[in-house]
Amino acid sequence: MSNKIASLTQAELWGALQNQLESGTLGEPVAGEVPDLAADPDYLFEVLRTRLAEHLYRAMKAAGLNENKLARKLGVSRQAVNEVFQMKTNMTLKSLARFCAALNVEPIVGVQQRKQDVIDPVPIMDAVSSRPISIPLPAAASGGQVDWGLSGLPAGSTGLLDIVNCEKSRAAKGSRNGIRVAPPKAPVGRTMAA
Amino acid sequence: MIDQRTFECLKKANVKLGLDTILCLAPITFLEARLADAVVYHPIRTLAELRVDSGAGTAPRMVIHDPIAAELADWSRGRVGDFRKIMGNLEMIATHAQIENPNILKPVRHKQAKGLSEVTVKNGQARLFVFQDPHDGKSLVATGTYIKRGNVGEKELKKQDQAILRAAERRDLWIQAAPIAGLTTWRVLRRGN
Repeated sequence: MSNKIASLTQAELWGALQNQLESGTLGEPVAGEVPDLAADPDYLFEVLRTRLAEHLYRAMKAAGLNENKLARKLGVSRQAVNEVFQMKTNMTLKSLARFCAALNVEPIVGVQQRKQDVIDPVPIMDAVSSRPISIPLPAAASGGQVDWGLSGLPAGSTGLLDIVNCEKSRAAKGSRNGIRVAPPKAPVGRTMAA
Repeated sequence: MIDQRTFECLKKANVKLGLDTILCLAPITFLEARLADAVVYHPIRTLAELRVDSGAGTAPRMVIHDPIAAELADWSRGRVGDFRKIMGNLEMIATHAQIENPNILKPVRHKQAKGLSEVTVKNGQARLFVFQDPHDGKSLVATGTYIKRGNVGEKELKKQDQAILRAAERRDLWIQAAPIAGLTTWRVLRRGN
């Protein structure tokens, strides 16, 4: 504690801080803040890769396999399987399909509107009422999030990709506008936020 | 920033400024905003300290010292790849009740750091030490960072040990600190009586 602070009474200190509170700077961080990565494609790539690694790892464990057994089933080296779980590779969709087939699970692909765009949609002035109205951006234009998940293969499934388009708006939270080619059974991990 | 309510609660709790150690859990803003709608969400916070600084010729100022956020901010400039991976892992951890892949999160193997876990980056050097807050049983609190060098010599292992112990010490501070009425993410270690 500095001498300057030590020489002040608690009442004087609280009084000085009250002034800082009123100026809106009380408790400012002394170092830089963690930057926002939501619009960084390289970050979204890492998120996808991490989700995929975790979901595939869970599916492997659920199937009672280890990396060696899975590698044998896939006809690849253990190293190749390990690199997927270590998030070292940029897995192709073809490889993902092979993993899913070997693990008897089905991939789910979907996108959803990014939170930021939902909170703060582009304001457009309504010419009639002169009131700003909000039009949520389509996922493609706003760069919505892409989520990957895996689900158990439904009986008699053709193994088709289950493509869910779930553009979600905060106003209509819980509603999902999607087309499912092959509805999955209970998901292995978290799939889409409802 | 601290709002009026928090300020009043600290004042009411008779916290001795400049003497007591005032701890708080600071949110990682972008993760909070990004995951606000997630079905499963376990907040991930950094352990920070509220200090009263004398300033340079000005009145005393209350500032937040957040070494973890500062380190993350550093990584975001100098270790961009590692930073993205760590944050990607944190996002995964925050949205899942349990992580099974040890390449994302694994327990720290150290006798004096039981309960501490490590967010790892494969093919990278950054490490983040976290623990589950026993007070709410839900949040993960980051208390330390470490840059793992490729050359694992005795000197390097010692540095790693020190980083783990520092993180464990900071965790113990949070666990031992007393709650402050009206606040859930603030605690105080009374030193000045």
